[in-house]
Amino acid sequence: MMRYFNALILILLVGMSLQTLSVPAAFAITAEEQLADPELEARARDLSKQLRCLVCQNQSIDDSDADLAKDLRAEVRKQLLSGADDQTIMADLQEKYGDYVLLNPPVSVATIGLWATPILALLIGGGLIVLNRRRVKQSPPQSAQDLSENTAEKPVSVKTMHAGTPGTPILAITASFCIIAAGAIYWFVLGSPSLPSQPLSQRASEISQDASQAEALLAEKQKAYTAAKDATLRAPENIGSWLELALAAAELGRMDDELNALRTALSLTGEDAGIKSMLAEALTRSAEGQVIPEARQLIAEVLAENGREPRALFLSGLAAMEDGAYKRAVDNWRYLIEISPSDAPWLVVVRKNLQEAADRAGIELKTDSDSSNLPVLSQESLSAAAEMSPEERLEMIEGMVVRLRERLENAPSDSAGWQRLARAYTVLGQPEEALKALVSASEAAPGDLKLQLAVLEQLMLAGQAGDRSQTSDQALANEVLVRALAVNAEHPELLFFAGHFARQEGDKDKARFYWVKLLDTIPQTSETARLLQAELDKLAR
Amino acid sequence: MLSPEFGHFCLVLALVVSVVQIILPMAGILRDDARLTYFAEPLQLIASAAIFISFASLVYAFVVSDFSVQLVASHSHSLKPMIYKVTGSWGNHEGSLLLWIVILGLFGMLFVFREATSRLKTLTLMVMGGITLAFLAFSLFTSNPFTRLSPAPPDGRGLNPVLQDIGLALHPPMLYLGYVGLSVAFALAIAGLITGQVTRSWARITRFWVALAWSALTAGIALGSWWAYYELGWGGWWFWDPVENASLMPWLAATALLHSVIVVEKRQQMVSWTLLMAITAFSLSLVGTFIVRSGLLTSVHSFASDPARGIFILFILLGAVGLPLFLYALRAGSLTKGSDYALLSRETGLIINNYILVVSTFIVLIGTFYPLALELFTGAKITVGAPYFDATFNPVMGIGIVFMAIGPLTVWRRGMVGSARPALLLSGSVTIIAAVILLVGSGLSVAGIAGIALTFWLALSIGGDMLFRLRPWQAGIGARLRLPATQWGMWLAHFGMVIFLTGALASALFEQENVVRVSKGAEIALGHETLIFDGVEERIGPNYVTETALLRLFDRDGNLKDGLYPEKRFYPAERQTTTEAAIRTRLSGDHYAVLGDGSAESGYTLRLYHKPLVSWIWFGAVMMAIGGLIALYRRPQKAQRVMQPEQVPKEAE
Amino acid sequence: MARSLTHFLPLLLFVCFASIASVALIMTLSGERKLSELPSALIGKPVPVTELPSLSNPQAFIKIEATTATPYLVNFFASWCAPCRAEAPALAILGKQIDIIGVAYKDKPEDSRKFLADFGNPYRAIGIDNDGAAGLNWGVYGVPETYLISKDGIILKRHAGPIDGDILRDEFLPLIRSLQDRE
Repeated sequence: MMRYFNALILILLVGMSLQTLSVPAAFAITAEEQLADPELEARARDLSKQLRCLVCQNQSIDDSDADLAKDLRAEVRKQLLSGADDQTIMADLQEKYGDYVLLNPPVSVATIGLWATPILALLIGGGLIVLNRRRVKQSPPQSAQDLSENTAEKPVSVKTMHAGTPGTPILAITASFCIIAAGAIYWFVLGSPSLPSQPLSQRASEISQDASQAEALLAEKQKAYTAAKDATLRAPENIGSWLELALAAAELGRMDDELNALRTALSLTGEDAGIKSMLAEALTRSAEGQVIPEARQLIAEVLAENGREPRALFLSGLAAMEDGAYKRAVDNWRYLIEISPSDAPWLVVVRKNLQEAADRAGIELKTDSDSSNLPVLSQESLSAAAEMSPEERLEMIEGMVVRLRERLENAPSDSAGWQRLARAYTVLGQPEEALKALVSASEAAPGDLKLQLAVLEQLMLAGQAGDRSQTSDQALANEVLVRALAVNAEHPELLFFAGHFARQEGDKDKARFYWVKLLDTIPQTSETARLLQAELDKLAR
Repeated sequence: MLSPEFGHFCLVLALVVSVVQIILPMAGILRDDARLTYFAEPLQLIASAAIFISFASLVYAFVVSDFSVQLVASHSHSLKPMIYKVTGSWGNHEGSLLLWIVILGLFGMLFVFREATSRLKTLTLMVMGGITLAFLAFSLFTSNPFTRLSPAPPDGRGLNPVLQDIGLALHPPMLYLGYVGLSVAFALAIAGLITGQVTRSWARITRFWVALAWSALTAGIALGSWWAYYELGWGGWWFWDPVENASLMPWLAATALLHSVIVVEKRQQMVSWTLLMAITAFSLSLVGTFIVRSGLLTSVHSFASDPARGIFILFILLGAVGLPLFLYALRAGSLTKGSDYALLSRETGLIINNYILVVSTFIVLIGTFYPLALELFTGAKITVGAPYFDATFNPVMGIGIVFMAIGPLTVWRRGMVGSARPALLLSGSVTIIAAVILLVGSGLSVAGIAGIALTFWLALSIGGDMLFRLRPWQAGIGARLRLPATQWGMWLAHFGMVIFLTGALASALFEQENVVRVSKGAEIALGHETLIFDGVEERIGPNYVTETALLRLFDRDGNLKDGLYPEKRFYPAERQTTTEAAIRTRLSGDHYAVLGDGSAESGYTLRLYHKPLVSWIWFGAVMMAIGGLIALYRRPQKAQRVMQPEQVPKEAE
Repeated sequence: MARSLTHFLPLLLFVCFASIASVALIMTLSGERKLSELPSALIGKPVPVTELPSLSNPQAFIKIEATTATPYLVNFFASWCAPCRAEAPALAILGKQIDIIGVAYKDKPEDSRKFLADFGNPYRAIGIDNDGAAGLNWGVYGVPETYLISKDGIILKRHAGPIDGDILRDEFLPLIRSLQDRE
């Protein structure tokens, strides 16, 4: 699966933090494990030496510090304490873990060769020696004549025996030439003749430059991340800043932050397909390339709404690959290639994956001429294009807004829809439209107190900003207040707004009425109460 | 000059030269033309030189951290200590293969310089050219050490602290000296089979190279076992791991060869057997290489294996073992002669020696490969571990030791040396008394007592032999000391075996172990001794931080003997934790301490051992290796007799 | 003659060795022989009867029994195991075809729950094997491991390691289908 995961990385080029494995220090048995009874403990140690640590290379559980070895040591001691004898314990563990757990393989049909070989080798070897002796006794000792014949070097031809006869110079020169030529040719093939040696000491400037570049890049990423984080704190309703944060977090490999940001963005937009597929992709990355159920759910939702969403299509193919449904993966990715613009940055990767899937499915891909002519994008340009530019993102949201608005005008009673629209306008920096949408939402759901409160809050903020006509806002506010007070006339927050807008209108008595009422509902000693009292005092003056 | 590309070119050049090194002398021999056979020697020298330059280029690339060489980039790092940069050049598959080839070149060169020109030498060089060719092709076509990277990465990735270890860096070259050294005997055997003249001079030449390779192999195995002992952290020194078995098999076969070649030299007996052993010993080292690098068997210590390389080695194996064995099957019959020795004779002793060694080689072979074969035939997976070898290999070796004590006391053809009877009487009676006392008075296992008794038996018979032969109580000791070097070498090597057995037995039978979880200030008993734990201290190393346990060791009278400081190292850059055992080595035994998990609150886990005489294992091995080297020495005046038929030697002793 | 034939013996032994090594190497290369995979000792034997506290309701117990109405899978998993995440999609597909009993191996219940929330819950029931004791009884040596059990409670198949698309398609699905057809 890692292959496809890599492909995903390529598309989105987001760094991932690698977990460092810590190598546990070698330490086998601990004091706590030991039994109080020295005799039982001695038996435990003895048994431990005959049991293999199954997850280790070649250690007994007595020598190993693996978790499993520890468990097995504890098990051996538990059974010893319960009075089991050594054989019972070994048999029990053999039953659970098989012969593999026994360092001393038991004699059985399977191990007969193992145990018989040493004995057979001893016997056969001994037998051969004895046989040899018998034969010696029968044959008389060889004469000294025979022996000396055997020890003599046979006469060897004079020419060869001439030590240090020089070879012909011509042959030597030819041979050396051929050897060097052949070596050089081979080296040109195998080696990298153009690369000079690069000792570290000569690369100081290059390395410091690289390091400072890398540092600057990291600092930049860090800065972007901090800025995005600040932006979301300042304007938690702004989808754009959450998306920004998600990307910045992804760049730094902060998986959890990225997921959080995407989830928040998704909840802000409601059901936006683009963000859903981004979330699905992030989830897939966080599960190390596995398309986890939540991601699958999201992909399904996205594709149900928009069957042409590239990211979701890609992930869907990945999920199909994972399930072994290669045919489906092929169809998915083929379709994705078909609908993608010819210069889409993901094409190279999708094609590669498509080939892989097709190979697995045993499908032959028709290579159309234009695809083979496509310029192969370099990794750099791929990664640069992989990120959506802010403009593109804005465009995406604008399109979403237009579609939503059209729908809502046909069905104005969809309060949630209006709210989503309001948030979208906020993102687009159109607060008036946002407020209008919000008011529509509150009209559509008059019983939703929280919503009414949100409208009032927006109205109050807009009034404080002072860039809106006071009168129209005041009328709107009164309308909302009536609706809200009908729901719950005692709600503290509502009482505050009611007082606020009454004061704004100039109706001091009404304002005092609401705020005194509010003061009764909150603890006298609280900070709010103190502030409210101060306001009331101002009113009185 | 030493650029990676020049190194690469030299490696390719060596490949071409070895092709010519086969063709020209072969043509020369077939056409009986000395002008052609003449080329065998200079070509070998050129090939060797090219290989050396190539290897030097690689080492140089590691030294200057030329990360444009892929091997350097993936196995080195600019921050590595210089010694590990150098050793890192063979601490990986490609580099170690090149080292293999370098040692082949080295032996080829030495062979050219040492031996007098003859048909045998030409043929031997041809065969060695063939081996070099095969391994050069393996290196260049599947595991090229000079693959380049462009652009070069800013730094390497090879900072693995586990691999930065001097034992790990040094034992492979030693082992390769042994493995590859056996190739000379192998080539000589093939040349002998081709010429059909396996003479006394053949045996004399072969014996030199076998003894050299055997000594290196012994030292290499000992170094590897010592590394496992101090590095793997649980105090074992031999694990019957496939990789260890792979080095033990050629050692056993080489030991057999080392003994049987003497029979050829002195008595012209066991000729075809000796040829077979020479082929077997090197074949088994090829099998070992195959095991380690093909990933066929799993092991605690092996390179990242690659089955595709395995295919290549398999082809080398088929050619380098199959063809010679076929040649052997065809020609060995003509080399077999009748025998003329009595039951009690040096010949019989050496035959028994070979018999025991071959049977034990076979046991290791079966134990190593049986699980693989069984898995192929039945799909069942079994484990053949230490208990199997304890039950099979050890008893066979025990029988071997019984004869090892007697064999050296015999003389050629018939009978025993004069010192034999008193020596054997002495050692036999002492051994039996000791065994009886141990059986009655100690709680040791029968196997343990048998081991001790055998060690006694061997030690006393060697000692007795020396004593009664040198007779230091009589005048004229100086003349009696002037024994042949082979005799002294044999005594030393055999006595090395005694030392080895003593270490192995004592450390196994009388080991003290204590695993505890303790807090600062605790007293820990270890046999008669006591350790005091003074807590754990954090220390900072060059590229790691440690938790170092502070232990003080007291003897039974409460006198402070030493401090032990086992460490747990954490390498932040690699996020690796390693343990470093603290080992206090003394002739009387090692104290071995390992620090485990823990904290100041919950206490620390400590594993403490006392292993009596454990270092004798490696001293013994070193003695064997030195014994082998001493036996190489030959009095110069004997060298003139090479071409003359010798008289049947009557050992004067 | 017999004597010269014995000289062929070493060659014969070598040919035996070389052919075994060749076959082993070819099988390793083709992926047919997996060095890390061990056959289960329990295949063809009845399931070890296992009773574990349930993950969804710690008061209740789930029991893996000798005989059931239908064949089923037992899957050992843990939140700390990366390959377990990788096999989530395959288990989701399997879960639609056959009952899967999950065993959370040496895992904290809250971690297991979070894992299931993140990666989907294909299990019919999940037992908690806190100390790995059940795993030991089943001969588990690492998670994930999946066992296929017939309705008579016989272990038919064990797969160690994550189930990927290939294993799902080539091994599990056909076996499950044939079991279900037989009913």
